[in-house]
Amino acid sequence: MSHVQIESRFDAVIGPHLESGYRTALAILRDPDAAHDALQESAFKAWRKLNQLHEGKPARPWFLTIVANQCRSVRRAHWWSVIRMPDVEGHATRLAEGSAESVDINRGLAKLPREDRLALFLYFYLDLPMEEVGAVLGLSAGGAKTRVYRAARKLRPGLELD
Amino acid sequence: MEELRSEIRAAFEREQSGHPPVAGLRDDIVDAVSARPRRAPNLQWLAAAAALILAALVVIGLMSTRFHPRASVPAATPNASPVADYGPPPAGVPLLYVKDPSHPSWLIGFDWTGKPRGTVKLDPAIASVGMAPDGQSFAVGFGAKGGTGEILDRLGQPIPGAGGAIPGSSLPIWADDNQHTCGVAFDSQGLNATLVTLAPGQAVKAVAVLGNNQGQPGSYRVASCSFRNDTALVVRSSQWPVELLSVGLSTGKVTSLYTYATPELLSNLVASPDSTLIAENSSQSVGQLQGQNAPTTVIRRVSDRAILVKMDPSFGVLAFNSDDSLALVTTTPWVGGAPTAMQVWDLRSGQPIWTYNGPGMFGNALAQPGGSDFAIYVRKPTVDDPLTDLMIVSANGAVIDFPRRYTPAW
Repeated sequence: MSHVQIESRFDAVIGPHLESGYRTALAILRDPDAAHDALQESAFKAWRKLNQLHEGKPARPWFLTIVANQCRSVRRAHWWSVIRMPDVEGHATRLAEGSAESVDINRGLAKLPREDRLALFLYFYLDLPMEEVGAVLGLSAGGAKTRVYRAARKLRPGLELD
Repeated sequence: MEELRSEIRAAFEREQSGHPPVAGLRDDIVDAVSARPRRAPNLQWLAAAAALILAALVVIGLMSTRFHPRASVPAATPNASPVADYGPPPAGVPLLYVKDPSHPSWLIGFDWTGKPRGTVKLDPAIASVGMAPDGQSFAVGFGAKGGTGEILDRLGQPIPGAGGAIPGSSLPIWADDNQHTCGVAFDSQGLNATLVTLAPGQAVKAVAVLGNNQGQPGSYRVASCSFRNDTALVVRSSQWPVELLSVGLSTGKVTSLYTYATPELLSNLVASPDSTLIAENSSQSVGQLQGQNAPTTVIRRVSDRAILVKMDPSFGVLAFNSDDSLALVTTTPWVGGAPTAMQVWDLRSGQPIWTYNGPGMFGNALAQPGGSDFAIYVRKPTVDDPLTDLMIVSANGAVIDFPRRYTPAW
């Protein structure tokens, strides 16, 4: 396959999911510059592995898995950079105009473990089906459902599963 | 569930709306990726040969140093030229490191009077670095699976030894001896959380099993780690701080465990570096204005939970200094996700000695090792700018502003 053909296939297959990839990276890394860098690196990896994406295999979870793995790698690379002195909450919460409930949700989300937060993001924000959430998280659909439910329970301890 | 779905979606929407994708993202990425050169051919054999030669050179170099007197570190002579190479940093002087704007892999060390005293030239391949509180060593990460890390000495050179990292740990912190780092290792199989410490060149040491996340939902984090007082304070939080544990670092025993009966009234707990004080910040200090707030923010002595200071619930402690005489406090509920108005309080007199009312948003604070001062940096609000405004606030209220903006390495 020529370079032009690869570019054309990449644009057609991965292009529609680049924005979701950026948003996922932003949700994990919470830094727009780092998210953009992670997206670009993920896109490059996807380009190199494009021949592994067989016809009929859904591209979105495949690409978002690469993005999530890249972000995990970035976070590991910054393992030491999170060494902190005072115990300061993250910058995720925007409290100025929020109601008490939204403040609680913001704080709760900020305190969730990263993988729980990612599960909620994929399911509730990107509206991915459980099968795709599971693919990105490396879980079965059932495992993803459990992860999402447990994460939601951490935000609302009394929550009952629908 | 549907109500929660909309709330979660709205929360993520708020977060995402602050940093939407750039216009033309798809075209930019596709162009960048397709224009990127192909990977170089596999030259592993060449790399292996180069590594062997380098290893031989290192061994020869190390052997040669044994036969010659070690060169003393030259005295720091700050150079006023635009290329800021201040020479090797002096030993034994606590330094505050910032990234050199002209050389991304260089760090400039300032002493606590604001004078540049040395330059550390790191390997450009190092992606991230965090200085020890005294600036006499550095922690760097290389991104290997499992979170390996390395401690560099004050000249930026690797410290030989076993090395290692805290597996599965989140938010490790430096201990007050400026040597160890402390964290909570999480065993994803047994779901056990373990307090661990790591010293340069040594293997990770497990101190105490804190609990099992299966039986006790929530996560543990180290709030303070004092080798001087042989105590680490660990907080278990779910949505709020639930428990405060004191753990003996030498014995591994939990010496005290306090469970908060109404944790939802608090936003967070902040410990002093020596593990003797704990600030219980009211939820109101982070902007929760309706109901369910502790009526005061308090600072307690950990040993007997005696209240030493009471504050308005809109105040929240951000950090203590090294001798527990001062506290950095946010004085209005957070705006935009971070404190903007701050004061440094003299805890003995109960009076503020320094006030900051913006426009910057609080970034981080560092207590002067062995002293009383704070180094504080603030970020520009609303824009993503790695450069910050730095200042040193002395115990007498005097302030030293750094002459230019830097990216701190802490």
